[in-house]
Amino acid sequence: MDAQRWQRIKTILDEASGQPRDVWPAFVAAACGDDDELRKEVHSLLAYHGQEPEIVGRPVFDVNTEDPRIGTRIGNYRILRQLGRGGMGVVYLATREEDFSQRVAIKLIQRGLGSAERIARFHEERQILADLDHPAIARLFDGGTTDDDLPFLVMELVEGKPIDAYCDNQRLDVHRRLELFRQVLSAIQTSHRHLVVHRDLKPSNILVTAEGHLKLIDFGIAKLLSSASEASRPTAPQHRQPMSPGYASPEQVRGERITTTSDVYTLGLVLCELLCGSKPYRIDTVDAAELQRVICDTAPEPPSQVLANDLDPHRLADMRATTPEKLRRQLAGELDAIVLESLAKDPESRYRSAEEMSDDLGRYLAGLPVRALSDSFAYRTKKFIQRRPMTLLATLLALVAFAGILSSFIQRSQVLDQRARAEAVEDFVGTLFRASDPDRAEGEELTVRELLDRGGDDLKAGLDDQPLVRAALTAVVGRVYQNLGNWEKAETHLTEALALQRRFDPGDDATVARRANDLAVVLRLRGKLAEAELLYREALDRIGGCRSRHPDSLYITSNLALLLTDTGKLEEAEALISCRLENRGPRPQDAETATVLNKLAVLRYRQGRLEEAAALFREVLVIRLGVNGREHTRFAATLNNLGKVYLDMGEYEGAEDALRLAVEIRRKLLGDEHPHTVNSKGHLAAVLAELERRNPSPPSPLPPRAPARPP
Amino acid sequence: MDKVRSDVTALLDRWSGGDRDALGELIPLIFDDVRELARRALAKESPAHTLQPTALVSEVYLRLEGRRSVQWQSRQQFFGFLAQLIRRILVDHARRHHRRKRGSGRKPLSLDDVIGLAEIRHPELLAVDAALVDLAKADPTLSQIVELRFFIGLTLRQIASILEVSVSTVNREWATARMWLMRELDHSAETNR
Repeated sequence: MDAQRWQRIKTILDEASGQPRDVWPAFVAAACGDDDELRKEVHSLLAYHGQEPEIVGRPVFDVNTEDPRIGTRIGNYRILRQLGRGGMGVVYLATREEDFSQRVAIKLIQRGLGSAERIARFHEERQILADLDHPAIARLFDGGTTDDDLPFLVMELVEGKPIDAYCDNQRLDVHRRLELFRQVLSAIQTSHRHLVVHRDLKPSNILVTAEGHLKLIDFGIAKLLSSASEASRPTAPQHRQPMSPGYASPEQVRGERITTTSDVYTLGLVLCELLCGSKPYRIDTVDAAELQRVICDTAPEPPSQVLANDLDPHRLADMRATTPEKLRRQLAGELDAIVLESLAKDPESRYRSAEEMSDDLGRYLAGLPVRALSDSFAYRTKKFIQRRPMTLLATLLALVAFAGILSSFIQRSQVLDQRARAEAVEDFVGTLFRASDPDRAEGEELTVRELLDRGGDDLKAGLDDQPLVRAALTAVVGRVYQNLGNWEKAETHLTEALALQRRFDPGDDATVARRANDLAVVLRLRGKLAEAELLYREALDRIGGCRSRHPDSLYITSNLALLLTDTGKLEEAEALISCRLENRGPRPQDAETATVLNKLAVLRYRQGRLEEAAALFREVLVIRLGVNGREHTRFAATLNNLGKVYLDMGEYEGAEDALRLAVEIRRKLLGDEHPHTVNSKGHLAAVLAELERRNPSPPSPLPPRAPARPP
Repeated sequence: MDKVRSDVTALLDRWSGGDRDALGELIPLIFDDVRELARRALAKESPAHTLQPTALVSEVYLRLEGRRSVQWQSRQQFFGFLAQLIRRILVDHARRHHRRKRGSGRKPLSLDDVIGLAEIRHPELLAVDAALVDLAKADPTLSQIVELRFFIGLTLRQIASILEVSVSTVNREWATARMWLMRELDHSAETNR
């Protein structure tokens, strides 16, 4: 880094820091002139402004600590060192006198209890906390008073990262974040049943260990300590409770009664941060009156809006393994509503309990209507049909025949531009049809097929004046056919969709690219390689090449690479794939990476580099097992590929294991006659024949048989 | 006292003889010395002769750095030396700990046992160390503030007095340093995955 340039950056940072956040973009833009690099640099730093870092903030070694308690005993414990220091006291690492391997955290309160009555209350409350038994709540083991009459608590030692940092580091997507967050709610619910309110929830009290286990610390400690140390000292209400201003509820800053719904409020703040990276309002003040005003009177912004205001949405989205646009769409609607419901200023209007909040998130995760939005009729209808795809499909097809539902949907969505309308329809219908994907609805795809055959054409009737909407619908139908294995019908529909798109909106590169790619996929399956290649190239070109950040670019790049290997253009294929892999840096364990690695593996296979191919397929297998689970067509496809590579390598035992499992899963998900199932059965037969030839023993029958394990 | 002295000599010899574990055992002793040195040098009076390292600390430093002698003109230099010493030792130890963990050898003494640096912070330690290499080139003062704060835990007030600048200046610099470090750490966390 250039020292002079850095000084300039520092000057701008300093000046910006002195101004309110909302003027930063304008200020920085003015200060940087047309130096785009400089502006980006400044923003990338400002994004961290004011964050009190969990890391860096704490020295790794501290010459100033000279704590006389270190090395001494408290109760039956020997104090090893300080873990931290808070407003309420010091936390030490300690071991049991009689068993040095047992390590605990000891919280020592700096003030004495005083009266006998207060000592009694301290012990009573301590007992309530000690009874809290939940795997995600750090246990309170013991407690007492030191020789010099200071109260202490002995707690389970938890080493972990705050939940927000953990989620970001692991790049958890929204669903995984919600699942983790529901574990928090479950722990809170348990404590609420014991009538224990946490009172000091914040990410740094919600830890995730290196093994991924959740642990809430400092449960009810705030109350325990205040009851121990405040008591007869009547003070201004806002000082009555220790609290973290950033996470305080309106009743808490007003000094009113704190209940279980106060925790719900704070959980809403934590959820908001997990989803979109910031709180729904800014707290830049330490002034009590100002603080109360912000918390009690400022309407919280919905998370999707908070995200939209962020200086660096790409970074946020990236840490959630998605794109800003997809993230915004994911948050808008249900999740916004859930967060806002938990953040109601009036405790009565919030979720009544952590359990209710958890239920609502569970409903969201399961695709059921969420309570937070329950008063919207349109919303409930949409959810109803999403939930019953088969019924809906029948309804939809019938309705579309007289062209009612779509136009009303379109009107309701209040989108005037036809291009946007087509996108909305595709989104909407896409979610309905997704159920016909064998990975989603088991065993019912035949019904969908029949419905499609009967209604697929009616679907498009009445949409003559809306060619782009029609193109979108036709494409969806085509993709459903493709998923069902009817490649001929898929080609017909996708060809029409592309033609419509080209004729009526050829300038919309992204959509033309998507339609071209969809069609090319089917063309390749049908052996029309030259046509497919042209379409892939066009698609890739339209979205800006293999380095493009467009959401579809990965898919298109890897499709083209695979096709190039089909046609023997191995060097170009390899160049494409390495371009893509470089672009992504080291490999995260996600679906996207699996896709690219899979294509690379296929490429190696085509080049005859079987060992490398097998290694890559094994890597893909592991990722997909984690991402998709066992009962998934992708997992089965990888097994099938790995089995084929083993077969070619002469590793027949490995091949048999992999292929048997592939056949079993494909049969279950796709049926016996699906081309993929037939393909796996063919490979398996070849393996068995080979084994039989080498070792003619009692023939082992084709499956069913004890399911094999993946290698 | 003599017992301690001869132990230290033996450890130093073992360490020079290539026994890297000896450093792990020396660390608590070194840290005690550093604490004491810092306390003396921070004291108001702190005459020039307080800027003398203990025999152990200078010995370790000389061996680590491969230099002939150590001399300081100012408190700034002296604390810079202490911070660098701690930095070198911790980074060295964290690296070796991880290398060893990957192998199947016996469990090495962790910094957690020695000075209470949880293993979970090792990657952070190494990342800050790496980030400081860049920062030192562009902004040596800022890099030194980070060293004094992060590696030996001096307060911002102490740092201001040592660098002979105002507390508000150090505050401002530290705020900038934090933004920079947080960003660098985020990036390194991404590329380590």
